[in-house]
Amino acid sequence: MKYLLSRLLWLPVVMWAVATLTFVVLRLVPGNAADAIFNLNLPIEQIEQFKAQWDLDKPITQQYLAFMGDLLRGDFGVSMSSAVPINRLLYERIPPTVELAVAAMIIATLIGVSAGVISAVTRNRALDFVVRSSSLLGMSVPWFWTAIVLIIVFAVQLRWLPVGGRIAGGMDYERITNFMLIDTLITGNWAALQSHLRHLILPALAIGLTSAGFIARLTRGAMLEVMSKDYVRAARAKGLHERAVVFKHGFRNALLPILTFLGLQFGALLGGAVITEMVFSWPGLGRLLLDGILRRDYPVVQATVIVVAFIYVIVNLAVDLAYHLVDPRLRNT
Amino acid sequence: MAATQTVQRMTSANVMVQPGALSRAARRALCFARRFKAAAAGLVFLISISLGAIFAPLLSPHHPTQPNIPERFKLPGGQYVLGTDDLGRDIATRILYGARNTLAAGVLSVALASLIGSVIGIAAAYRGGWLDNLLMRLMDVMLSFPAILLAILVVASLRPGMANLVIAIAFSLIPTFARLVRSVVLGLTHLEHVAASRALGAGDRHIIVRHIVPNTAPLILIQATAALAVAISTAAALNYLGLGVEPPQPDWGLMVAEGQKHVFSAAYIPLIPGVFITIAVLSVNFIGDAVRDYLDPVLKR
Repeated sequence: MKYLLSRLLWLPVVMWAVATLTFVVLRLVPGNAADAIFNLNLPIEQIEQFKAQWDLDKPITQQYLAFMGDLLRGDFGVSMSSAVPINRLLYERIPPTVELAVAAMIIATLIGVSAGVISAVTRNRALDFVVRSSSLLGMSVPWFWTAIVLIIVFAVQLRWLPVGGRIAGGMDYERITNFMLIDTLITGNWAALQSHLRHLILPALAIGLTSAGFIARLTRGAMLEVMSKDYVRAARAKGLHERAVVFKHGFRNALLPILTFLGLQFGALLGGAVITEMVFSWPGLGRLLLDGILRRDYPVVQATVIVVAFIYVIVNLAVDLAYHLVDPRLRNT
Repeated sequence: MAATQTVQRMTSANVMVQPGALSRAARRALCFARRFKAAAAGLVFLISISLGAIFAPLLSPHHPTQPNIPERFKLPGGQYVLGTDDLGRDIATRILYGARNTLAAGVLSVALASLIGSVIGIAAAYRGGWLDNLLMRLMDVMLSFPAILLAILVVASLRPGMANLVIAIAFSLIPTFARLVRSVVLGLTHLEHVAASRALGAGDRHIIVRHIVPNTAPLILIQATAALAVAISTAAALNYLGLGVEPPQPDWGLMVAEGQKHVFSAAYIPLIPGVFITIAVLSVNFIGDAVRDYLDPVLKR
């Protein structure tokens, strides 16, 4: 309990540090995004006006305090290129990315964990070899290329699934949470739900397959380690069914390292989402980030990076808390 | 078999010492290659593609960036081994020239990250106290970002380009190296031979150079091969996003991005460079596994 509390209290500190590092990298690096604007061939008065408008003429400490003050109130500022409040952009862009990352996580976990367990149980036999080689292959294929291969096979050649986008053009649905899956479910809009799911499959697979490779490899290692323990031998010796040995004694104990790793993989998945969104024209944070970079819209870049890192930090905290639920030994600490 | 022979030749060519040592090195390489066939194959691929990249102007009669419109969309096979792209440029030639960017970005960023990471790790472990605390908390914060996001952030700040790409990837890899080196060095400073060395009056520099660095090197090597796979993927991804090498320069990731619009009509254009990225990363992963298996018993001892 004390541990959980300290972890929760630590969260704001981590978030502050993440936001500060982002600010520092974007502002203090020579030739940074804010400076780049002044290299444009504009009349001096216009640059001065621009500087004043975005407070760039103020000392950096003052800019930092203003940025932190806004952030504390949950305000990410205004986009430099479109003058739209960034909070509104985030409201539109966070749900699609979270949807994609969660769907990819589910795919990666299902495939990765089961492949890893199968591989460990059939150690050094043909099936183990197949799983190990395919997980190495999965680890080595770049996300964006898997995405293109999937598009070519399932969208262009077989025509089973759409090439990109989040929902079929012209299809409308009521926005409540902006999570399409939730909105279409609670309004009972089955046609939109189906269309959305069909659009979700390929991008989620593209990201999930890479992570599945990493997860399978780690699960195999964790399982093999647990299965060599004395209590597993004892379970076998008392005549327990092999399936019970594998799941009750083996898998449950291997779950802890697997869980930690799943949390870490979520970071990779978020990164994968940011990149895969470009392939599938998925309207999420990745697109927002890249547009921000190309337009030198550093408030947008800053906000997107901070939000993605926050999501990652929170997921890892959740994994840490889940740890305590799974492992009875930790429950009372 | 061909793979093992090439490895043997490569290794012996590099060593260039007395005959006895030469045959010993060759025998050791052969033994390594026999035990780790996949790694040997990966090494052969990486060495040949690197040689191909270095000698590209001699190997290919085609220009890597100059458009040749009459020859556009030629399918793989025939006069152009891997076909031509939408501007009529020979894809095989662009793959060779592109390897310079993709592989160099990977190797350079890992070299930079392992160097800086080691310095941070050694400084933190060796000095301890507030410096250790400060450096490690900084590493923790960097690890709070998904790695590729950190690289994108740095490249966004520095502006796209090949050199900035290397810096950005290196930045994202530093914390893992720093943490690893710190933990190893902490373990080492308490060992008896280090204490003995200090008792004999050895200075910090002597201990670091003689005892710390040689003993951390194998672990850094294992970490570096693992990081190389990540670095090559990240470089490819950032180039795909248009944050690295500028067109018309060839790069594997960028070639996938440029070819993507042809998925309907000429799918081979985005597919081929991706195959090369995959094989390169796979090769590094094979080598990484072999290096780990090979060095692990040494480390345990």
